[in-house]
Amino acid sequence: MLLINRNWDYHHSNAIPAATGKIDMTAGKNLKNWFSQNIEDNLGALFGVALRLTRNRSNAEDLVAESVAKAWSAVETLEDRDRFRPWIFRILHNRFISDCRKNSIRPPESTFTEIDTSEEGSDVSSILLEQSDEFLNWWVNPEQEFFNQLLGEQIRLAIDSLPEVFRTTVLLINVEGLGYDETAVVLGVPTGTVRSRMKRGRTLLQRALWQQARDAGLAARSHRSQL
Amino acid sequence: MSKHDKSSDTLDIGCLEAIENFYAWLDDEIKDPGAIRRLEEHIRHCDSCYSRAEMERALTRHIRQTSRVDDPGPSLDTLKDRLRKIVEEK
Repeated sequence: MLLINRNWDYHHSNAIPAATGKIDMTAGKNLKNWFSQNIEDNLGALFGVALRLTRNRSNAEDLVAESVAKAWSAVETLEDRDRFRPWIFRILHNRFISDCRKNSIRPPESTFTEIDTSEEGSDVSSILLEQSDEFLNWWVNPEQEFFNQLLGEQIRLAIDSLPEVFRTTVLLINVEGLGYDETAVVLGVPTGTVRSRMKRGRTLLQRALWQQARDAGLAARSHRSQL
Repeated sequence: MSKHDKSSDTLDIGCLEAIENFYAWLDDEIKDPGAIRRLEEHIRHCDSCYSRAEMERALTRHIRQTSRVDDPGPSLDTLKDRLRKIVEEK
C-alpha cells in the first residue's frame, strides 16, 4: 500500500514521492523496454479511462498519446517502478484537466441538475436526505430483475452522466482496481476526499441507473413506503 | 437468528453507520479487523443492508465488465503505432 506524503505538492507535479524499487537508469535500452512494456500492459486501462473522461474515441486516443509522451519525457522522475500505474494515471488525469482549461471548457459534467453534486456534506445522512423517497425505497431493495436486465450501454451512460470528479474516482477504484491511497495520489487529493467522492459518486450512479430503470419499466414506479 | 424488520428500521443508526463504511468495506479499504467484524455482523442480521451489499457487489461487477478495456485489440493499432513512435523518437 502506498503511503501519502502530505507535504507533497499534489496539484502541480507529476512526481511521485520517492520510495523503494529503483529503476536502473544506467541502461537506456532497458528503460525504454521497461517503459514500453508498462505502456502496453496498461494501454487498455488508460484508453478505457480516457474514453470515459473525454466521451470521444478520437479525443481519448489523443489524450493517451499526449500522456504517454509526457510520461516518457519525465520517466526519470519516477524513482519507484512499482508506482508506474498511479503515476501514469496521474499524468493522464492532469493532462485531461489541463486540456479542459486550455480550451476554456469545464470537464464534461452531469445531467444531475436537480440534486447537489458538490463534494460538501458528503456524509451518508446528507446524501440520503437529498434523494427522493421513491429512490430510497428502491435503493434498499432493488428488483433482482433490474440487474438481470441491466445492459452495458445503460451502465456506460450512467457513468458518463457523473460529474468528472466522481466519474474518475469510481473508474479508478471500481474498474482499474486502484486503492484509495493510490487514487488520492492520481487525483491529488487527500484519501478522505477519495472516500467521500466514492460514496457520493456511487449514490449518484445508482440514482442515474434507477432513473433509467424506471424509464424502461424495470423499476416499479411505487414501492410500499419503508421510511 | 432474527432478521431486522425492513418496514420499521431500514435506516436505523446501525444501518447509517454500516452504510457510511459500505464502500470502504466492499473496496477492501477497512484495515481494522474489529470494524470489519462489527460491520459484517450488522449486514448478516439486517435485511436491507444485506440486500444493499448484494446490489453494490453486483453493480461493481457490472461497472467493471462494461468499462474495462483489457485487450484494446486491433482497433487501437493506430494508437499503438503512435505510442511506439513517441518512445522511439526520444
